[in-house]
Amino acid sequence: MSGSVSGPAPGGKKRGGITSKGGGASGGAPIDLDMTPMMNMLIILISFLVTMVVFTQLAVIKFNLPPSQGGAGEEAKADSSDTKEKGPDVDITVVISESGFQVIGEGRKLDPIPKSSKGYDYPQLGMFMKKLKEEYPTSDNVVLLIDSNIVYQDIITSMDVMREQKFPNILLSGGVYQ
Amino acid sequence: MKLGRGKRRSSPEFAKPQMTSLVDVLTVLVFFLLKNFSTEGDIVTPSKNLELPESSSKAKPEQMLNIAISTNHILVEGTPVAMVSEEQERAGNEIPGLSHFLEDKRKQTEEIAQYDKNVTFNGKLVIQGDRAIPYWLLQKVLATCGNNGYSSFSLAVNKKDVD
Repeated sequence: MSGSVSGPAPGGKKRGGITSKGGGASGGAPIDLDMTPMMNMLIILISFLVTMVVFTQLAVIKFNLPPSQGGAGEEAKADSSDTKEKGPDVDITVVISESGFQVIGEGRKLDPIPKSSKGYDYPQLGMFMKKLKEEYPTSDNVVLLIDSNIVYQDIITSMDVMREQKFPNILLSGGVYQ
Repeated sequence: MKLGRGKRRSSPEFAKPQMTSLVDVLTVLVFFLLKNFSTEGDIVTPSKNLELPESSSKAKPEQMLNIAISTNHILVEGTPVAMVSEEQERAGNEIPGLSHFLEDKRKQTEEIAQYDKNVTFNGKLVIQGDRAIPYWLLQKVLATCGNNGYSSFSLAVNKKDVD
């Protein structure tokens, strides 16, 4: 508001509208454009946008529990032993523990991926999952077996890795908290 | 340059500011803000005092029941329902405070659904967890929600810039 009122006043003093330069009547004298209205508009637009802007953009990761009708103890998440009912898919289980990742699939274990001083080795996990995807292209499911003290951010990043390697169905396994 | 000098010679008492650079800056700023501008508004209001984890997920949030798990409290729609420290002591997967709240909420929705066909109980939840919460806490919340008929989850995350 104040910008639009006070803006033109000093501008008008300096140069009113389009002024021809130098005062001389010589042809081709440079024309001085009045920037004041444009500046006013830009500043108002900026203040408007700054108030509306969202700097952190939210997204969501969707996942479903197996549908369950009431009943206590339906643990919601598929327990690692209950995931055999998926038919042709192979069971790929990724264990996330304090010491690192361990990929288990179809009764065999891949080499453990140790946690380094910098944290979990996500690129290595990604390579393992890529190999598994090439081996079993129809398989979409991954069960994450997560140690109870693993931090949420690590879980989300692991889920990201799974999704990037085209395992969109991520199941979380869980036991009963003691 | 030429313009400035000419002006100064004709009327030396007015210093003419160099507008071009200023306009450049403002224009760039406008484009930057316009790019970040979303017309959707906040569908999920990020809760205060918790830091969402980062993810490369692109899925858009929807309007639904909102559970926030900070490192100290569990809140549903901004109402604290449980303390994390108490839950740590309690064995089992049920969080009684959360469970009661969700049960009430579900009954409410189902009651409304009897009168209004547009309302159905869909069991959708969005979970905003602090990036530092341990898995057992998340697991307890998920299990409690599952027991109360909420089975479709969205984990709220901050979008990581990958492009």
